[in-house]
Amino acid sequence: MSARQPLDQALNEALLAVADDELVCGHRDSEWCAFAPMIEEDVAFASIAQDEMGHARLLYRLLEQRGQGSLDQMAFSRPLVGYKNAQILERQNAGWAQAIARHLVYDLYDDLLTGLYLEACTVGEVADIARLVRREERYHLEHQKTWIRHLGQGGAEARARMNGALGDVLAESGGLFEDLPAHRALKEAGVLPGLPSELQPEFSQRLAALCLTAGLDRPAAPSGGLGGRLGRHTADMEECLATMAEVISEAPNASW
Amino acid sequence: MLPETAPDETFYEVFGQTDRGEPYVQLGSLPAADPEMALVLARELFSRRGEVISLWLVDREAIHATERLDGDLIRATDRTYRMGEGYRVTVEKRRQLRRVTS
Amino acid sequence: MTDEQRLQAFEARIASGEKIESDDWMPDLYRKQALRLILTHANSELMGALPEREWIPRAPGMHRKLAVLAKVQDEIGHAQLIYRVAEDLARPLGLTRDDFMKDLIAGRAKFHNVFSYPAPTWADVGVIAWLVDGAALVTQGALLRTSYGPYGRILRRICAEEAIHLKHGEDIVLTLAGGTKAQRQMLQDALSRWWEPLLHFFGPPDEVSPNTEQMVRWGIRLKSNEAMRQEFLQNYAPKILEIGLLVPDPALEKDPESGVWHYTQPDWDVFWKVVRGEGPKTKERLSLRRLAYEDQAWIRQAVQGAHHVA
Repeated sequence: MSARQPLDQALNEALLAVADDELVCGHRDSEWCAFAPMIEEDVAFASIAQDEMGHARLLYRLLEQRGQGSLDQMAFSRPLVGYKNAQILERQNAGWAQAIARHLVYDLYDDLLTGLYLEACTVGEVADIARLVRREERYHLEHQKTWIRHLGQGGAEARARMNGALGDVLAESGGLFEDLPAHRALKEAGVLPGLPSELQPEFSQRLAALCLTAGLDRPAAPSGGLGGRLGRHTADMEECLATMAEVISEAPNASW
Repeated sequence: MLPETAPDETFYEVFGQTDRGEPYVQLGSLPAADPEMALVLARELFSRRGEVISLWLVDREAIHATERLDGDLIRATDRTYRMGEGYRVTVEKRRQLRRVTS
Repeated sequence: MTDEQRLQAFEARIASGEKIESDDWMPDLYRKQALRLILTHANSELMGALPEREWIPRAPGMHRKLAVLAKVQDEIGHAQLIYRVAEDLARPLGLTRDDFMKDLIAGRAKFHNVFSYPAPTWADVGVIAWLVDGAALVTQGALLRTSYGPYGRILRRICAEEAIHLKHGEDIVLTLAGGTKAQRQMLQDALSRWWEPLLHFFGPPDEVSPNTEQMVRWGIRLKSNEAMRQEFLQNYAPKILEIGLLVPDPALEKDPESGVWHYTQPDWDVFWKVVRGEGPKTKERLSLRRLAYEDQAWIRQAVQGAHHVA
């Protein structure tokens, strides 16, 4: 047995966490389709949903090549405990302020994750995907920044809603920065340059700067919502998986 | 002249370029609170399939247009001396001259 | 110029195939008729997103999930283009998009009948994208040469995108047709459900209202309901039959000599009921739109008022 095998396994696990984040995030985004505020925004948000699911697809394809099963089986038909996404991303949609707050948090995190972490991966395919993902994430960040600025400066009600939503989201976002034993193994072997938890100070700094510009309260540090990376999920995730698999599970081996 | 806009809305006319070197062509328009928001939204409204490589957004108020019906731009007198079709006879002249000189 | 002279000049322009632009002089009636047609189309694109959007979260597999989301997104993008044309046309009447939305959610505005029907299975998604969009392409294609320039221009892009939707829908239909027994049954049930709404799609054959005549004369509309229904049957009926699906109409047959398709008239009372807003899903879908509109009032206020706040 080669010494690389446990490391391959560790990288698969780390990649699955990224892929599941993107999938579940894109799925929740897609549930906004036809009901985002303003027709123009509806079109824009549906593009963001496609981007996120497109990123998930890239990663599942890579995992497929690495012998981890088929794309659709991974995305749609794993048992709940197999999903490694952070809990904050699986929570049901709860209004536009939550949508923007959660997306801002996720996009800031994702920008750092791809830029500072995955792009530096010694496995070329991973670094390539990270660069591609980051290109689209830049637009998402631009979109989210524009929105929090408008809502932060759009009068007392909008500001209060935005502050409230950001507070709620951050109180469940600790799970994004949770390290797995796999992450530690990858860092020790030099495959990846650090740990997800090490991205958090930079994340908080950037978020605070954005909130300041938008006229919003100084944000708390992300906390809570832990365990997703280890397969522990909320009831919202059960609903999410049941919905996603509703049709495909009628005939899992058929073509759809 | 374009229709008047309501005072609290800004409408942006959107122009896109399909490739480097190509002209910008009007694609549509959208209302938005400011140019930044307009750009963020226009990208998805007018290039979902990557149809254009660049967009121009123009505040409608900034467009100064000619009258269409009065036909200012349609020339009243003969301008064939500056059109290709005004020179069809030239080919014939060369042919005649060649006949004379040969 | 007197109004009579203006009208004559206007009609002469239309007769010579010239297009009318939003800032041209036009008879009040032309503006209102064009606006009504265009608004119905815009409302239909927006309401038409609803039956299919229910299946985005459930779509089987990553490719379908992305494709159906992109398709519904296109429909909303079409609504955006068309509402913009309507807004410019309606400005001299003092109407804005907000008025259009209020009319729609109050049930005062028209949208196409076909979007009042349920889409209870995944197969409905295929049938809608292939045949309902196919029917829409027939009517929209017939409008490409409309005398109202701004509408004709955006219809070119809309028709190009609808043609892609047909492929997406046809692919779903063909996959199910070649699938398991249960998948084929699901598809057959969906087609049987949609057949009557599809025949209704183009409206009654004997439409002779002064309105319609005027709209044809002014080049706002160009083809009759029955001509469009025949075009649809000609394009799609053979393809449906070819893949072994049954059309729930034993009388459906093409006359080999005249080329005309014979079919059993659908129940036009049902059609008029849906027109009156009594379709099986009309109220439910309008109330979804109303709730979203009301829930999001604070956002419109925040964004639209943004440049008034120092």
